[in-house]
Amino acid sequence: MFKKTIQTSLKSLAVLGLLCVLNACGSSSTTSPTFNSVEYVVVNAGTLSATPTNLSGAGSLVFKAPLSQVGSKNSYRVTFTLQDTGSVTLVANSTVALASGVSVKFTRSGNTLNASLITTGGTTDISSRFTGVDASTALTYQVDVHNDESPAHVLLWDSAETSFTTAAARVNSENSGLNALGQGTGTYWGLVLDKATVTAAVLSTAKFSE
Amino acid sequence: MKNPILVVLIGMVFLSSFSKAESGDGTGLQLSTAGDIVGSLSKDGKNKLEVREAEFLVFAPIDHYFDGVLNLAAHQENGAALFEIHELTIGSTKLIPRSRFRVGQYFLGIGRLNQFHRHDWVFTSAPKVQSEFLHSEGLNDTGIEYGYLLPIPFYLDLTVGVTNGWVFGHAHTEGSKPYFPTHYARLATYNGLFANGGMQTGINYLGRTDNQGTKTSLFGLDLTAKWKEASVLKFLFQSEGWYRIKTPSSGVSEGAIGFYLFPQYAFTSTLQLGVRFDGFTITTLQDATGAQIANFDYAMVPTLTYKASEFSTIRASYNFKGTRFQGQTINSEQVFELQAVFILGSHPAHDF
Amino acid sequence: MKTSLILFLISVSCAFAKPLKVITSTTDLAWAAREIGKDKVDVTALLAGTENPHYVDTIPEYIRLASEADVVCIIGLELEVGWMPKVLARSGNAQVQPGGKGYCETGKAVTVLEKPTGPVDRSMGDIHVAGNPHFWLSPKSLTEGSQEVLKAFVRVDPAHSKEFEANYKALSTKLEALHKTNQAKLKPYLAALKGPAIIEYHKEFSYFFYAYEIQSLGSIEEKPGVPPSAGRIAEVALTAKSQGIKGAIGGEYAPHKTMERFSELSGVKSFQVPTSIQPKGPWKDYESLQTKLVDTMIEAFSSKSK
Repeated sequence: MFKKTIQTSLKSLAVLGLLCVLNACGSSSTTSPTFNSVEYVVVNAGTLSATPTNLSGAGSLVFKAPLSQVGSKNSYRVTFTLQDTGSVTLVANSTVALASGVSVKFTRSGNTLNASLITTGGTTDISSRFTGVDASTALTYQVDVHNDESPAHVLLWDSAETSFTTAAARVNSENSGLNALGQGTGTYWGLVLDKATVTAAVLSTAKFSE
Repeated sequence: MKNPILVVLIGMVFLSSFSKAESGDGTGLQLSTAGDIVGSLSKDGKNKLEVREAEFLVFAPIDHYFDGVLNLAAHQENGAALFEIHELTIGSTKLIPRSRFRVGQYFLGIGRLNQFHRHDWVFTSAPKVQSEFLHSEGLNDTGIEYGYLLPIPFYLDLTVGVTNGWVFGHAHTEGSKPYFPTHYARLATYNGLFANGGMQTGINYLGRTDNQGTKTSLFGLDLTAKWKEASVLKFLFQSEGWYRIKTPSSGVSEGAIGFYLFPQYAFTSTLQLGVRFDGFTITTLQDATGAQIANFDYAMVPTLTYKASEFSTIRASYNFKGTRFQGQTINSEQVFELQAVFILGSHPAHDF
Repeated sequence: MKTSLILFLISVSCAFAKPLKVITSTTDLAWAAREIGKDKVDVTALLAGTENPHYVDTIPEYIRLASEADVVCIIGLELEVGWMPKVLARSGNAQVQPGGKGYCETGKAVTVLEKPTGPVDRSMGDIHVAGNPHFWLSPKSLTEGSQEVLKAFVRVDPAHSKEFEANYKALSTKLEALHKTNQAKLKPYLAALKGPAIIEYHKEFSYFFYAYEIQSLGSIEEKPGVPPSAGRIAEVALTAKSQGIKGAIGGEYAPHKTMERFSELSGVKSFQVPTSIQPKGPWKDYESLQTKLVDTMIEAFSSKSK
């Protein structure tokens, strides 16, 4: 009788232990992939090829951690390379599906870089601000999106810039002809690639303060 | 109005008008100016002393029915002090019994802080709830506001207003025509508390639908209690709590709650010590997988105020603020602020 | 028959006519307004008589009371400049705002003392450019100021103008008699004095002193409305001692510690007295307030400095 009780208890313990192991194995499979050590969720897998330091191909992803709120202002440092006719879009303050946000889209045509600001209110062509930029090279930009203003206030500086003033900005959407036409309505940010490679996308606090 | 030469000319006109009014030319023109100088010191901050605001306020009866107010203010933007119209109204307190109204540009009669010029605040910088939901200087727009004192045996005052809503908060563009303009209401009551003390409570609502169809609704409660001994504000308690919900035309609503509490005690006739507690959270924040994200912005701001008279204020405060995100402090900052405020000209009103 | 009916209706309406709702800033004006209006007025003072009237806030309850008033009477002379204009404006009651027939500024009718001459600015303290506003402590000045109360009542309720005028005359007579009684009471003590005998904390007793020919050394405050420094207290205490001052007098809201310190340094006894009628306290009317002030003067004159 006593022997039978011991055997039953041991079996129960074994089953319990197995369940624990299985559970532990299961939990590791819910961790999101990371890019620059930041977790993300794939929105459109497409032909996206991803490693922790390199995104390439065509597809889109949204970063898992949200921005602090819809009406937030943040800064994004993006490093990318475009194939001819390729594009990369930084989307800020959007829905989880990367819609209804404030987007800065870079497109390559030969060696020319075109750019636009996109919101639900419309698209503003800001290509004139990138005249002379060689689109065939790796490019890095620091982009502020102040979604606490209406319309959103977008500033863009070259990578080498350390003085983040409106005067030093390559693009200031408060200048005539460059206005963003709306605000983002969400708390997510992400990237949309098409024949592009992104090697860095870093979120930080806004560089410019009013 | 950002032309410095124009500003100088206007200033000269005001000063000459003021001197005429002082000699009694029968216009009833009252002029006052306010200066607000703020310096801040923190590890990564600007660490400079600046003229935060210079204000010219002109007030006079226009005629037997109407009064006019003009408030020009300059504050630092991109290193330059630029004058703007903060208030320009024509109004009356004589046309409709128990009523007052104003038309023009003004600070909306909502909440507690929003109804006072920033240099008259009992602390230096705006609590997060004010800067997020209204504006760090106060929410200002152009429209019409009507106030009515209900004919009942206790104080109950209703203020309603509607403004353009093309912009919300400080903006340098014209903004865009909203789907529904900014509209607001405040119901305020007052209770005397023991001798020389009283408490005012207000409930507030503000709504607007912007040009993208995002509907903003703000609900707030403000409470101010005061106790005076002779000329000294011995004890003050001032607080506001607000709830905002923003619903885009497509997408998920965002809810947010913010508040501040500010108790203050006067140790002497000239020295007052207060501590402000701020809190702010987005109630609907989720990560991209839909998991709720705990978040809380907090601040504790001990504030020491020295008032040599009702025309000058020197204030020192230490702002301990931080952000908690998913159970961790992701951001914390300590800022020391020094402020000097003065008023020249007409005697300021002793608002409750 | 028709005429009788009309006359009957008029008399009934007069009998049931509501009294004028009168708001005054101070309790002293409220007392005077009741003396002039009697049962034709329902008077409420906004202040309780214990406050420093310079530093009152725009209390919302004051706004409500002003919104329902037929007449609002204030001291004026910038005493209530910090709060009353806003109270009146926010009341939405055109009748009681400046220029309205129910607006009554009593200081206009008073022979003002201590009106500054020459340039004046805030470096000199809280100067009242129109003159010293604390006139109600003099029976004669209160009589003068009450003329404006009378005028307002007559404008708003001309039907009872004769009654108001008769009551005003009675008030004048009463205040004159009070003045004479108090003068007689003070006379023997004043006769024994050889110069200034009193110093005040803030110059709010000027009219009282003028009425009873009491000489004052001046004020402990160096500048009006500015709390005196330790140096100032010491300096003025020394002067008071050397000049044989008999008493220091301040309102009940004057800082106790300052008055005590002054007494300590000068050996001069200090007195803190009511400066307005206090309906909820022992000084319920003007006569008792005046009696208190006169008795305090007598006590001061009789005291021996240390």
